[in-house]
Amino acid sequence: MKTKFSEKFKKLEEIVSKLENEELDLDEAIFLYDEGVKLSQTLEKELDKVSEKMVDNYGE
Amino acid sequence: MNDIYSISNLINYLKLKIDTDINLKKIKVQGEISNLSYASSGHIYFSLKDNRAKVSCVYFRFNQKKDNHTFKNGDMVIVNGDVSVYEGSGNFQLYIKNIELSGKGNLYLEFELLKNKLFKEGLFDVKYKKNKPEYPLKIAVLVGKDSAAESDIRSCFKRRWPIAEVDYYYVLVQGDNSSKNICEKLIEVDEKKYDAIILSRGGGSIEDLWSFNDINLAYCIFNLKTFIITGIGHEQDFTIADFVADTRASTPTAAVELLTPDIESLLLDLKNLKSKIKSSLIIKFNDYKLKYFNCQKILDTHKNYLYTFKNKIKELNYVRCKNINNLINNYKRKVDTNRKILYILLNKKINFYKSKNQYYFELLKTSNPLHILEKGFVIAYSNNEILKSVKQIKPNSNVKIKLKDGELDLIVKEVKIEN
Repeated sequence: MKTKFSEKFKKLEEIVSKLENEELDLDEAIFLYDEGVKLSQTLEKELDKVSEKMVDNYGE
Repeated sequence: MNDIYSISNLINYLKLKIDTDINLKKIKVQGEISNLSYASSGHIYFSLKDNRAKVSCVYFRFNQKKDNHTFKNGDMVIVNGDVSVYEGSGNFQLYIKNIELSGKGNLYLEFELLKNKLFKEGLFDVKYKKNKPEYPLKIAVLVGKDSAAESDIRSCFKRRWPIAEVDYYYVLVQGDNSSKNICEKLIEVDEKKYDAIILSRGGGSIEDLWSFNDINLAYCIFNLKTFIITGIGHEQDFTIADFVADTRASTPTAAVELLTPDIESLLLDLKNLKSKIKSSLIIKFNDYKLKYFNCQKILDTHKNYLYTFKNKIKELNYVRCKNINNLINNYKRKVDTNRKILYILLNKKINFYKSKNQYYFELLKTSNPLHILEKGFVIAYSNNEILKSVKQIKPNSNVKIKLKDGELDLIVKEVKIEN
């Protein structure tokens, strides 16, 4: 099952806050960074998709 | 003796001869009374008879005793009197001085015996009497040829019931062969499917009517399949045939009258019935006509009701449609409004998340651990693992160095451990 949008967003928030606040190993930071970037891109795509759909369905 | 007699002379001569014969004076004669007749003058006239012969008798009033017996036909009597001739009729007769009863007459006795016998056998029983046909149309009449009875019957039919088909069968109505003849004719006629048979004879003495007291004739009548009515003699005459027949009429005319309806009164009845039917039909018709009109009226009223209802329904339908349309439009509007709101809200949400995502993305970028490469730092890897200590490496092993703009593959010459 696909992860819900809100969960993904939450995960992104966690990643950002972890990268900002915690003392991480470089490799761990790089892994989290990669995951964060991927997540952010996915979320952006999903949001764009929803936007498009909304314009198709409800747009004036 | 070559003189020509006048009738009076002849009768007077005979009268003188008889009146002077002492053998014919104060004689006693025995016989059976028949044709008895009481004249208004008080004189009594009758016949005396035996099986073969008959003589007329006169019993004048002045000879009758005060306590005299009342005689009837069939009485067997011994009379006392003179024989003389009555010039008026040329008949010789007995002028009676005295009468004594000598027991009942033989014929009368015979009649009574036969009547009792047949009565006991049930031949007169009402339960065997056939019902008279109401409108007999085919009738057989057994009667003496050219007799008064025949003409009475014919005229009565003509008057009362001319529509009937009447066949006349002539029979001997008196004499030795009479009963047998009547029996044969009855049997013949019985096969011809008549509605009724009339057996008739005019009036006469008990001897004249004697054929109708025959036992065989009685059985013959009893066994007939056809309804039979008798009209024999006069009112006072009863014969065995009368008793056995289905109905007895007193005279030939009465037989026809009893058997047939009167066509005149029947026609009148028919006329009355016709008018009754007509008037009752008219009443019925008017009755139905009225009912029809009433029904029509009721139907019209209902029709009006229906029409009104139809209109009402039409109106209601129109109003309802209008209302529903309004409702739909209302909802449509609401939905539209909500859709707009929703669109705005959703857009807002999306934009919110988009900007937040952007923000996080920027944050990520600022905390990119690879930013250090920009400052001249490098990252060393061995077997794809980041090296954090020299202790992880042995001399001559391969190490990868990641710089800002690329990578270097190196071989370690020496490992120097500090402090």
